[in-house]
Formats: sequence, structure tokens, C-alpha cells
Amino acid sequence: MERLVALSCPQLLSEGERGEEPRAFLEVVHAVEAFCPWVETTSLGVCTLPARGPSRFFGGEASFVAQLRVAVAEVLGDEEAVGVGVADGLFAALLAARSDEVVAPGETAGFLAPWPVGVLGRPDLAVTLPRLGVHTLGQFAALPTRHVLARFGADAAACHRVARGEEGDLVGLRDPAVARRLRRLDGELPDVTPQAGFFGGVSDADVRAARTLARLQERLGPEAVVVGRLSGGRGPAERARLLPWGSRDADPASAPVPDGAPWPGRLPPPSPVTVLLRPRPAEVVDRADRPVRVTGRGLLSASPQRISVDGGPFADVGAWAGPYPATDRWWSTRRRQARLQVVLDSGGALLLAAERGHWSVEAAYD
Amino acid sequence: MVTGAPGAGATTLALTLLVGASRSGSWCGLVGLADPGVVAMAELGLDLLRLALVPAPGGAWAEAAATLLDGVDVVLVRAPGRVGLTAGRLLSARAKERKSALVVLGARAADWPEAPDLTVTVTGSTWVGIGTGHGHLRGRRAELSVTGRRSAGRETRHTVWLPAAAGAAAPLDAGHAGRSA
Repeated sequence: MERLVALSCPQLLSEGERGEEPRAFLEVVHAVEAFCPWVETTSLGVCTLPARGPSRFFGGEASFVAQLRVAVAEVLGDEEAVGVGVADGLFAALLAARSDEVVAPGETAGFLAPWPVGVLGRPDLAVTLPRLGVHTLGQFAALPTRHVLARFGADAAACHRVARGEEGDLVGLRDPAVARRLRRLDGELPDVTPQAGFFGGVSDADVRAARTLARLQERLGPEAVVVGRLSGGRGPAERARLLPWGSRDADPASAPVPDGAPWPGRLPPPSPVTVLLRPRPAEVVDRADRPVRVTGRGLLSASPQRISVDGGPFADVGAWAGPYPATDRWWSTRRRQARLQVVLDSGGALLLAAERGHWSVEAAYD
Repeated sequence: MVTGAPGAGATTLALTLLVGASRSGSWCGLVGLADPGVVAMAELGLDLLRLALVPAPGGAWAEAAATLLDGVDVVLVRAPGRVGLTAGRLLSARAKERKSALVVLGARAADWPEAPDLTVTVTGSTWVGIGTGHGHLRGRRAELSVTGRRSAGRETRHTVWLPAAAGAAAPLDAGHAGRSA
């Protein structure tokens, strides 16, 4: 079970007549995000974030909680306006925020025991269990597991595992509409529908995928999970960008840069399936082993005969085409590049670029 | 599983296997394609809006693939060399359990510890459209060998455009690249 910090702002738990609460809560979330980017808004007025990483960074759990409290109090102008809790698993963390306590690791079941069964958020259980004399989570947890499953079904069994401190998460603890609404308020999503970029609307599969990718980012880091978007440009590396999943530009609703502008020097399809993030230096020589250069007029000084990549062994060139000149103004430096398609005798094809007399491999057509 | 000598077109072939699912609205995930050619992927027919990439998962490649199998329909993994029995079994089992498809891209069939349902190998390929100093890469004619388990056990051989001139893969008779060759 992941150890979580939960924040609960009692004044912001429901929306009043003037509708100020979501915006105020958004400011709270921003203040919390300054500590850690993995803030999840579970419902209006309540958000959670992982405890372990930030605690290490901010001088331990107690110190981290204190700093969070100060930051949120500053936003809301009231020290009493936020409850901060730390516990194992989402369910216990949310309750810990309500009672403003830190639950030591492994003491979840003991912490949960005195709470009334109503906190599970299951109206049927909240009615039935007290009639059977089961009023608290502790009493509920003491019931034999197979009886709970047989008498009340699978969802109650899940609640039972949570009450025993064996699991931390329950269906219904989160209100996804709140997260979407806050992102819209924040200008991260357009106001129409959150998924306007998907033709035919958003499907269950889109939601499932989004959840999976977010989970993967939590484990590997936000930069590790990317999406590709097309943009204008001549070279294969300039015609597309890789953006972290979830970043504003990667949102399908953000308008794509129109592709199809007449870029002189752009190579016709098919494009290379491998585009090196870091081009690798190469040598291109002619029949007499002299370096091949791109002349000022954009021609090759001689026919390329052999190439070597990264100082490796020379390979024979079977066919080649180019150079395709490309002149880009990039900041104030004028870059002059030329590209060369090369098919090696081994069958592989490469895209080479020459700039100021140096060749590099930009891409490969595997 | 998709295999082939480096440069022969195995990456294009593996991506091509995702196109049908992608076109019908399925999500696809790519793990371990360190230097992805996004333009080529779009040309092949992949929907970039439903394509997620984990280019450099490092040691967590199996974990990344397993997580993706939870939430997307087709996952393409480039195996980092020989794959251990545990990781291979975990991923195969996860794919079956989630009813997702797993495409493994490897240098040799032996890199994957279990017998895949289907193995497609690029046994040879030739680029057309390019000469010595003229033309440009227009298409690649690739020879494929397909073997499998059970009913797909007998080896079959095919020749396809991988890709054809428009950037997508095509059966040999539908391509145009050959005309200028």
C-alpha cells in the first residue's frame, strides 16, 4: 500500500451559491504542487500526494506535513482551514486528513477501528450493519471474510479488506469530474469537452489508457512516457516532436501544427522509422578514400563510396540520392545542412546530414 | 514476434502489425524503441493520438510493458537482447489475461524464451527508387517468412512492400514503387 498524504479543506468540500470553492481549491492544489507534481484531486476540497519521496526531500514526514500546512494556510488565510493526514492507502489517508493525524505505518487497522461504518460510503452497509450490531469499522473487520462475501457480495468484501487494513483503495473514493473541472478552470483543457481532439468523442478505452499512462509516469517519471506530434520542419527530427504524456501541448485538443506546408528540402515519404535523438558522427569517403563534401552550390564533391559510423568499420554504399539542401534560420545562426540518403550493400538504408563539413547519421530506415 | 537482420525492415514490419488496431481506434504502446521515427509511424497509418511511447525504459522495460498491457490494446516491445524466462512468461500471461496483443521485436527468434503464437522474420529486403546519385528511396520489397504454433505451424513465405511509396505497407501488387525501379 502506498503511503499517502491527504489534505482536506473543510470549507471547500462543497460548492456554495457563489461557486468560489473550486477556484479557491485550485489555488490550494497549486500550492501543494510546488512540493510534488503527483497531486491527485480526489474530490472537491480534498487532494492526495505520495508521502515517501517528498518526505525524504523536505526533511522527514513531520516536517513535510508542517510545511504543507503552512503553504495551504497562506493560500486560504486561515490555519484551521486544512486537515493534513498521512496513512497507508487512500482510504485511511482520507480519514486521517479529516482527523488531522499521522497514522504510523502498519497501524492502519487500529486507526480505522473506531470509525463508523458509514465512512465506507456504502449506504446499504451503513443501514444493514448497525442493525446487526456492527457499528464500527473495527467490528466490521472482525467479521469472518467468507461470511461477508457470502452475505453482502464482492463490493462489501472489498470494503471489508479495507477495514482490516489489507487494502487501501475503494471504488468511489475519487470524483473524476472534479479533477476534470479543475483542469478546465486552470486552462489546461478547453471548456467545451475535455476530449474535443478525439473524433467521435472519448471512449472507455481512452480513459483506461489515460489512467495506465499516468500510472506508468508515476513509476518511471513524467518524461519517460511520451506521445508523438507532427510539426512543421524539414528534417525528420524537426517534423515531429516527442512530448510527455499529459503535457499541455500533447493534449489532443491542442491544435496540431498543420502538416503539409511546402517545405523546400523536405524528403518525400517513406520517412525513416528510426530517428536518432542524438545523431551519430559519420565519415563519408569517395573511391580514393577522400572525404566527400557538400559544395557551396549544394552538390557532392564526389560520389560516396563507403561510410563509417561512430568510427566503426567502413561499409560499402550501394546506392545514394541527394544532397537535399536545407537552410534553416535558427536563432541568429544560419545553419546550412544537406541530407543524403544512402543504401548500404548490406541492404540497410540511412539518412545522413552534412553540416560545416561534418557528416552524421540522423536516421535509419529499419 | 518479429525478427530480422538490423536494417532489413523488422521495425517497419512490427509497426505495421499495429496499424489495423490503431485505425480502428485501439490504443497502442511502444516500449524500447529508443529513437522513434514519428513521421514514419504516421505515414504507416498509426494514429498518433492513441499511441504512447516509452522510448527508454532502461531496466524497467518489462514492468513498463506489463503496465501498458493493462490499459492499451496492442503493445510493441523491443527486447533488449535475450529475454529471461520470468519476464517472458509474465508478459505472455499478462497479454492473454488482458486480451491484449503483444508484439516482440528482436534480432533473433531465440531472444524470446517462449514459442510465440506467430513469428514473422524479414529474410531479405531491397530498396527501390534510388540509384547512384538519382531518385530517392521509394519503397522496399521485403521477403517474409511466417511460422507459428498449432494450425499456423507450417512456414509460409510472402513478399510485401515494407513500406510502399506512400509510407504505408502494402501487398506487392498494390504498390507503385516498383515501376521506377
